[in-house]
Amino acid sequence: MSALRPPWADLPPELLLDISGRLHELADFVRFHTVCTSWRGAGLLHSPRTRPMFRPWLLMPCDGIIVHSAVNFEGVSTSGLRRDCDDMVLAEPPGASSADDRKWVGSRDGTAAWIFTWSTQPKLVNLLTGDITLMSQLPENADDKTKQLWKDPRGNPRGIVYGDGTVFLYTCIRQEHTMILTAATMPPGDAAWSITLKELDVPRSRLLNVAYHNSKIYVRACDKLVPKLNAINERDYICGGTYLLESRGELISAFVLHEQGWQVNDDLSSGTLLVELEALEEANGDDKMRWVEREGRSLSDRVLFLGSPASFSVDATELGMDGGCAYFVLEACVFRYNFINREAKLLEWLRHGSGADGVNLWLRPQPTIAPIQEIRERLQDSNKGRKG
Amino acid sequence: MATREAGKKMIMLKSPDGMEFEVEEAVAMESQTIRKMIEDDCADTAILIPNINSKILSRVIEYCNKHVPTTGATGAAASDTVAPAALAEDLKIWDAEFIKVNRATRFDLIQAASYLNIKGLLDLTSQTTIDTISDNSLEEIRSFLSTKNDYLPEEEQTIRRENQWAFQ
Repeated sequence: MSALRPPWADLPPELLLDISGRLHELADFVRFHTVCTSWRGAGLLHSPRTRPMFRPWLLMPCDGIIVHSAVNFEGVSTSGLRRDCDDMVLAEPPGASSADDRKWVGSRDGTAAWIFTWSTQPKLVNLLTGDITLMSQLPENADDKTKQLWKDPRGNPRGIVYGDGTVFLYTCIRQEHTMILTAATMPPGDAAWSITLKELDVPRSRLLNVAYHNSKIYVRACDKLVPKLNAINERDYICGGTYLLESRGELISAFVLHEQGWQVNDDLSSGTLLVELEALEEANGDDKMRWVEREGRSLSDRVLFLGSPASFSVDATELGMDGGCAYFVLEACVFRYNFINREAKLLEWLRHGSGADGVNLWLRPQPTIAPIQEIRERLQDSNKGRKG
Repeated sequence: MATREAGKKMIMLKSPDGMEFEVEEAVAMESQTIRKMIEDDCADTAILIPNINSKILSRVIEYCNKHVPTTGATGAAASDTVAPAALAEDLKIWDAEFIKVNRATRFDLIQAASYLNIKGLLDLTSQTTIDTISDNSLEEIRSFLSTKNDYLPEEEQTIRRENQWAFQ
């Protein structure tokens, strides 16, 4: 007979390894290693092959706080009730700006999220690690008008950090009848920002998205797509979000559309909610690039995570999830759109007020888990340092 | 209890507390560990299963009996008449009932599943542990699983700081 209090800490390492390999939430995986030293030791034995496939989670501002939500990818529970206790409130690192002045920056591959601040010394504050990256000041020769645009409260500055280290920030401000885009780009190795001012040919729409790709700035809105779709499907669609993402070197636009008058509580019968794709392709004969409709089926081996300010795609095999799907937030709910059967599914109700300012970032950070010996050595060194 | 049918090979499993269980070879071979012993001809008439007491071994056999794939050779098997989806659903319900055991039994079952290498049973027993980890704070996990926190306070503080966002 076993003791009434079974010695879970004494489970054989290979069994602990097996259990930790089944944890698909990164936060669970991290907490597993913090239970006790034997669990930490066992979890560190993972090879790339046995290491669990972590599913992305959502980071969103909500009523002044930043909430980290694990998404139930299987779908809403039958009760339909949201358990707010599933969320974690992210402790904001020192140096991050206050809630009403957060400039969000996402990474191209979803591994990090930052808050940007222009004040005194421009810097990026990593929301997960607290690390601070100091950036250059806006160029001296930038005129006052440009500088003013960054501070304009009507704008909503945000940005993306690309794989090569390029930092790209932008803000869009309506001025009378036009929309002005101000972008600041800092490629790796450059010491100064390069500033771009652009008058945008988009109608009165907040739902546009901006990306930096192959040294060019791309702006997308779904104003041209909606009338086309309405004519084809004989329905009235409204744009619910525009996203730009790089997938295997290609720039892809994703447009979320829903029928006019549709509410989240309504059913999702076929065609109510759509995700349409376009890819940037070289036009025949010349170097000019153009947007071409892209069949969602062609992404059957990928999973798209559409967020703002950054979106990304992951190989389905890397996640152990079905490919040919896009995940996105609409009306404070998480949806999955399946490109193969063109069906949408409501997965989760988010906390009331989530993403009110249009920010929702999918994240898949790489955890840092050091062996206990290393932690002990580190502590010893710092103790020595203090005494010396 | 199924009656012994002609042509069906039986195997004897022995627990260290001296109990013997006669099971169909196909049922015993749900365990990859036993399958290997049989295939390598290491099994005589009886196989001693070390470390697994009769109470747990009988539950493991119960699980394997339920999960052994039914084939045409076993006569009018359930799969001939019932749709696979319904069968899977039935198994799921049965599994949910099967795992409603106290923590000590679950602990023994997870170890037995691991030693005998029975994938389905390991999936089932691990899942409840995973749920415990997913649904609770660190302190609750330690209390539910009765694991002692053997980190020094400053070690735990450093570890938490590594991935601060993973802790509420």
